[in-house]
Amino acid sequence: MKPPILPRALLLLCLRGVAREAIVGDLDEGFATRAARDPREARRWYWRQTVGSIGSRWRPPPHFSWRLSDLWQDVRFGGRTLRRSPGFTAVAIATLAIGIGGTTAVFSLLHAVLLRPLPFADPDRLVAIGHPDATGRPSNLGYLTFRDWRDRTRAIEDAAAIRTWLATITDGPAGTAGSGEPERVPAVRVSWNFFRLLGVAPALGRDFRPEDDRPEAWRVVLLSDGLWRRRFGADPVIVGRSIGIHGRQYLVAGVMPSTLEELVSAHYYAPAEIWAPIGYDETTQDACRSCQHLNAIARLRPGVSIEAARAELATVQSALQRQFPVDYGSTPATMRGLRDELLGDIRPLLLVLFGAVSAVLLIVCANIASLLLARSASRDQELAVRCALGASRGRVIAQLLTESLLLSALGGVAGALVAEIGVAAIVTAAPADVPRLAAAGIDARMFAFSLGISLIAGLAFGLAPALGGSSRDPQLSLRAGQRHTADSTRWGRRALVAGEVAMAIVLLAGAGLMIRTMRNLLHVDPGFDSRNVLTLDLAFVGPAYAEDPAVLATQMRILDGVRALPGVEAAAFASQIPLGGNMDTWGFHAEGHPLSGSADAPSVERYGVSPEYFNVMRIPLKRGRRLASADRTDSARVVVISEAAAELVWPGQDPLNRRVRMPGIKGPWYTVVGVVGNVRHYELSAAPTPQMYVTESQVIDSFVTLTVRTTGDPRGVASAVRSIVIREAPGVAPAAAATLDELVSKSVRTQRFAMMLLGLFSGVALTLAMVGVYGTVAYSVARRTREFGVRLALGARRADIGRLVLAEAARVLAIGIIVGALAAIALTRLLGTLLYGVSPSDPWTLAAIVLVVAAATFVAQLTPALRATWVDPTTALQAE
Amino acid sequence: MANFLGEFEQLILFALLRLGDEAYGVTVRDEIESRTGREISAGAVYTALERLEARGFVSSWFGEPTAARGGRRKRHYRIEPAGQRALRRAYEGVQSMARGVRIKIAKAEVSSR
Repeated sequence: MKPPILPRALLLLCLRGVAREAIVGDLDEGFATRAARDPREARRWYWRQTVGSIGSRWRPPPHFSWRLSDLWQDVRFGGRTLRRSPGFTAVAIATLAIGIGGTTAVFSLLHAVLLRPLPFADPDRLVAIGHPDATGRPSNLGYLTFRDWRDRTRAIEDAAAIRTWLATITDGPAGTAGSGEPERVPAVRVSWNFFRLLGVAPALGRDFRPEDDRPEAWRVVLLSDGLWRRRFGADPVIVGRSIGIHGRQYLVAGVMPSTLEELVSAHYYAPAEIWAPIGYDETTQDACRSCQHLNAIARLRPGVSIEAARAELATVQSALQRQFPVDYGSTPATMRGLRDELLGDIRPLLLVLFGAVSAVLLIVCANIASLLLARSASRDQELAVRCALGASRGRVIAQLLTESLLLSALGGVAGALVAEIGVAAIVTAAPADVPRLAAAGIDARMFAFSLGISLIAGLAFGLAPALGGSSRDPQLSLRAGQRHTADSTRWGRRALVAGEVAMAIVLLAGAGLMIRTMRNLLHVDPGFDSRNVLTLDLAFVGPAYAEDPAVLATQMRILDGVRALPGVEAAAFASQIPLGGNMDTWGFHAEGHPLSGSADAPSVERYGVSPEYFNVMRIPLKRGRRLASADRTDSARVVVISEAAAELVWPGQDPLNRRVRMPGIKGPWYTVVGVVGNVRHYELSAAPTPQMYVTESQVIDSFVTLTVRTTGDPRGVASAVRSIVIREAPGVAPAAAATLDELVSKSVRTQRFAMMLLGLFSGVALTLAMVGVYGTVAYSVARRTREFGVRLALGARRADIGRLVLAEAARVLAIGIIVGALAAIALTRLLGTLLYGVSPSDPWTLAAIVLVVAAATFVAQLTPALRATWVDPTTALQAE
Repeated sequence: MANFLGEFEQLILFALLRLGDEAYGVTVRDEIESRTGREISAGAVYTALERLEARGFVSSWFGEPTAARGGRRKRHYRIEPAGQRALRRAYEGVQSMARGVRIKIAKAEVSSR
């Protein structure tokens, strides 16, 4: 039986000299005797002995003149001092809390989202590949393209394709918890080696195998941990059994670990909860080279740079272009690091946030510094008395140090609270598609960092006067009316205030630009009327909807039911809606158009809609006619195009009655019967893309959105519409209803988020700067009371005194404002892509901000300036 | 101050007297604990012993290492004549102060319960 390790180590650590041997030996012996009787009690006894022995023997090292009792005395004295000036204390603690809490919260988020490595094996070798989109980023590609790139590019060790899939779980295995209401679950289909490529393995069951990834054999799924727990009660029995998806049986191969952060599906579609093999080969209908609906990721061979790999991929694609000119035309290939691809979009926003909060932290430090400077300078006399009564210089420093630390500690506690609330608030307010945000928590290192910065500021400026002051002859300070603050201190304070004002201007300029951006965005005409429209996504998938007529008939019944509801004006189906997050472009091969028949033919956004869709969305007709219920499956195929499409394909000509083949050169002919207004499909800030509308009855879609225009609040009919869908289309689980207004608002969420945060931070910055200005001017007025008294006694007018104070402050402010305006012009550029319809160096915004700051700081110095004019010369001269 | 003995120091000196050649940390502590019912720490015992040694009241020497002590040596203590004198003075002082008040102390204990 050995004595417990930890206390023994403590003993050996804390005891010195011969006593160590004797005591440890005694305790070992005593422990052995006691352990023979009762080991538990013996261990407890050993602990008690350890604590008692160390406690009774602890002596500070002899050169350590500062004693524990002194510390306690300093703490209590510091506490009393702080309590005596509650205003100063409250402002200081609140300032620290905002600075420490705010930076901790934002740094923590930044770490969680941007800085943490991707949760995959060897993530630096992972890339995204695809044909470049308009911005040059890898976008969609066809299956055969994917296969050839993977096999022919030597730099690529392995690659996996991914496509969207909507799984509606219709039933679980008999006797398990999974049977219940049909449920739509975001899902993807991936190459069998997808998880192997990422370096993630299932927690339960097995990964996909090559034999699962074939057209006839892909009905195998992996479940997310969340789905497994939620839907199947975390029942391990589920592995190896079948569940029903769209009424077909799928074998559950395994369950992914709870720690999985599958950012890839989340980036391209929605965070998947079900994965199935993609199951393509060259015979698959959608496998063609121009069928660009897949995304792909790849792992580069070790040691290959992304530039080299990209160059090689380009060579491979050039060869393919020559081999299949009809399929590719001049379509190139591109590659991008997966990290940039997944997190690149959010980086500007987070960096702006980071900049903003860093500026706030700097202002906080400046404020704390200036508060402490003012305070300790006004305590000259107190310190002098203490010195005169025999306090050593070290003792005075220790006391000031303790006060600074006490203040920082209180600020740190409050800051932790602010950080906690801040993280939660930002996570709630942030756009839902920010990757990895949900996992964000307060990062202890970030907290330590922010606390450290404020501590250093507090210590540096808390000590400065003590270092200067305590060496001073106490007689000087004690002598009545002697004021001798060093010039350097005063200039230091002025510089701090100017800096604060400058930083407040930068932040306010950023906020101002974002506010103008939001205004511009919300005044953009999206091309449709978003008020009073309800939308509901439906998937007509499964054996019951295998035939087109069945789908069409069900859709008609649903529309009839919905139209009969009170408060419903119009209802229509659409294969996709603007700002709905979808993309569906068709090759537009117009008769006689030079590019027709090639892969470079114009791409046009396609909407498959029921005729009433234009009424629901209120998209205006410009020429010809709209789609009509007379355009049926068996009648001539017709298409309605947008003005942008007409301008793109037939510039300056009449598009009506022209003919066009779609979606490929072998597709059927469609006749243009009408032109309607443009809509903004992807974002409010993006110019309208060319669009066209075909009737649902001529092109049946399985994944559709039900759109309903109501006379009142569209939310009011949501549940009635849902019940009609559930009644008329069993097995089709409707997604959550959303209003069109919500989609519009969602599309500007990044800008709104930036506006909100910049607004918040700049508000804080301005407030802090005002506090700083007030503090400086008030302090200077207090110090110069006697001087003002003399001036008044010698005949100066009160207005002169006020002007004197204001003029001095104005010089400092002017410097701050000029520096701030210049910095703002340089830094607002960083907002770049977040802005819409306003230039980063917009002079009107900047001018307005400068006015606001000038006015605010003027107000801040007004009170102390007025106080200066109220000085009573008699009192001022007698005061000392 | 030089000849004054604290209560704890008196207890330790009494223990040394009782234990004679057997006096070292463990036995001293056990003796005090078993007679007074107070648990005391080894560290406190040595702190007091070192102070007493510095004042010339006790002397110490190292014994043999034993297995039960993890191969560490015992530190033996013996009371010196100066320590005996100091203890006698202190004890007589207590006795003379206590004469006649024993009953009152008992009463105080009863009434405080």
